[in-house]
Amino acid sequence: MKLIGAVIIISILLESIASQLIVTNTFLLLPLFTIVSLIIIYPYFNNNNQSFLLVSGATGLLYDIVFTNAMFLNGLVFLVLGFIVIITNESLSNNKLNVLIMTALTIVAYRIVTYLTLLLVDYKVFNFNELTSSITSSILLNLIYSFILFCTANYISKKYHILKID
Amino acid sequence: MAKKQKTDKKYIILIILVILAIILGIISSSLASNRKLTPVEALIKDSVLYINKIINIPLDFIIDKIDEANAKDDIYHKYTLIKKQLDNINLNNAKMLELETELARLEQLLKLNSSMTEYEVLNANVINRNIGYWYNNLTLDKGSNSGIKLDMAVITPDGLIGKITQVTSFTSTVKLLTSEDINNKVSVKIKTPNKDIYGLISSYDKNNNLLIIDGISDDDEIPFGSTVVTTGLGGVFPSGLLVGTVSNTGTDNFELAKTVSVKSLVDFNDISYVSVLKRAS
Repeated sequence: MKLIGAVIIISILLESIASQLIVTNTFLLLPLFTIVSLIIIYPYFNNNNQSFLLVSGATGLLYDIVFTNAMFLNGLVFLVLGFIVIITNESLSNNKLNVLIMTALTIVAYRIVTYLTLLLVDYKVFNFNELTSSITSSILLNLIYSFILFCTANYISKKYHILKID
Repeated sequence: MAKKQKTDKKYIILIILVILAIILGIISSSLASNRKLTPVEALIKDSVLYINKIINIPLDFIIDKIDEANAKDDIYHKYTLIKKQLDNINLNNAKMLELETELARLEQLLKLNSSMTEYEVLNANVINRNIGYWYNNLTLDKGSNSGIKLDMAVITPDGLIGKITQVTSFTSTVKLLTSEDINNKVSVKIKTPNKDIYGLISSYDKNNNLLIIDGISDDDEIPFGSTVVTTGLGGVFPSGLLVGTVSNTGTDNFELAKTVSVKSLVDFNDISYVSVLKRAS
């Protein structure tokens, strides 16, 4: 549980720092580290999906408070992402390549679900180019982060004998 | 038994849909209004951003040192420029005092109550930027403890950037002019040689980084490069704040009115320090 908490908190802090260091219109380098952390922590719940969804929702609420100032938006979106992470983990085993695939899928899902929600509440006008550019600009940096985070979490779990599903 | 299960399922789906509709309603209202944060939310936000601020200290130090090293190359040129400016400063100070007196007199005459002179400037650092791609918010390291209140105007040396939409004890959130939120309209005037033309900033063209003004009569001639400033109408922004310069004109979808594209001098993607305009008490 300590590892899970640490991964989420470090990811939120790093995302906040990265958002200041990286110029926002820089293509391919938009950080979404908090979302990546959901993919990395899932195996440490050892198939306790209910707890994972609870943590996902709570992380989304925290994300709303720190980053978006919207109420429940990311709470809801992170819950949906939680389901997606569970489903992808059922079909893919937990290795470096699959983690990268899951990260890409989850980021695409995050952008689409958030965009659809913002369209539903009449905050945005539909613009397909905007949606695709939001997806492409978020992939590269987060793939790198997920790879580093996966390796680090793996190393720590092996060192301290923390159980996880493969 | 099967019929009862079917009815139960219907109720569950109905309940889920109702909950979803309520959540969407809450999201919509929280995005549209300047919602006041609950004490718990404010405490969490302050705590996370305070830790973030501490982590940023060594990072800022390194970045400042890099900037300093880059600036050293240019130091002699800057020195000669500043020396020239210093020679004129006494003259300019005298001029400014004279103008301030004149402005105060004219304000009293016209009963204006929203000009720049009534504002104090409070400098703040950007400690968090919303990277959700679609919201366009900045978080500042000054909050209600420093006297920041909702709806205060936020500027940089290059012009207006937005207004305060949320305040906690130690932080405040700025909604940028580039936000596509329909509640974020700003009343502006375009200064042309003949007259001032009034309009509203209604949207932001993300692809070309241009602010769009609409509601302008098709008969008005607007030269490129005209300065766009706030009007002070609406009571949120003081008058005379620089917004940008006119870079293009066109017509609206119905070809009835003119739309004007304004190039802001502010790089909205790279803002580190800002000034909040506090109404002088």
